[in-house]
Amino acid sequence: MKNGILRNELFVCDHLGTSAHDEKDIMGFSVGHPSGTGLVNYLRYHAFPDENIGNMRTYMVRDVRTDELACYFSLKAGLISVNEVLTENGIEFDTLPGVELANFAVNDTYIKNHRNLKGLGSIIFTDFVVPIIESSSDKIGIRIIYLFALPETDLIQQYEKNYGFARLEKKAEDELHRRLKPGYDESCIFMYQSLK
Amino acid sequence: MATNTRYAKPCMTNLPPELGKSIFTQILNTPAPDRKKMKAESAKLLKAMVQERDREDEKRNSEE
Repeated sequence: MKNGILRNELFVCDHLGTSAHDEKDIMGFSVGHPSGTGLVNYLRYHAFPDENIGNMRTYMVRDVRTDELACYFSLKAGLISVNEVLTENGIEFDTLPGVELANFAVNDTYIKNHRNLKGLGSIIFTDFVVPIIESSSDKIGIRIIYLFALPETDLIQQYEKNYGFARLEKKAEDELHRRLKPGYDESCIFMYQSLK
Repeated sequence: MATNTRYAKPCMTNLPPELGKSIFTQILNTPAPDRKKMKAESAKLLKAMVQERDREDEKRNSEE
């Protein structure tokens, strides 16, 4: 087992494609929640092409003892920006640079093999996701970590309680939903946290 | 998260000035999570997880 880019006592985190088993293990990856099929499809059909062209960096987290694939997550650079406004001082344009946690999924197959393990997502987020973003922020400007959560109450509560993400006020969320074109029934929920 | 035909991600760029200002204010006024506390909780979870994995391995070895 390699050391990976990050490692703790039980898990090792590495870039997609580093392990010779990645392609095979991706086919066995599953998610427990029915609304999470997009996460499985992303890993199977889009992760490698996105990695190759630099759209996204995907990380595979493996059990150091068995080499089982326990979790994956993807990160991409992002930006929140406000339209330019003409003020007394000229045109003002404001931006907030961030990193989008674009995919984050625990492997249900792994969980079924180790039914009594609790808190895997929290460990991955704290030990791997945050340190990678913190390390990037030494070199480039990053103010926030954000994600677009599926509108599932339990999932959103987990992001708030276990990972420290916050939601915008309802009025702002409703306005963001109204901006969607064409009109979708439901929109993902923007959630954020300051890096420092 | 990920590609999904049923749900759409809200666009967070080119925000209209009033909405954008309100969103920026909310974000910048939200304190960062307590990383030290999160790290301590994660270490606690990991410790319990290692113990559980030890039990699993022990059981597996005794069955073989």
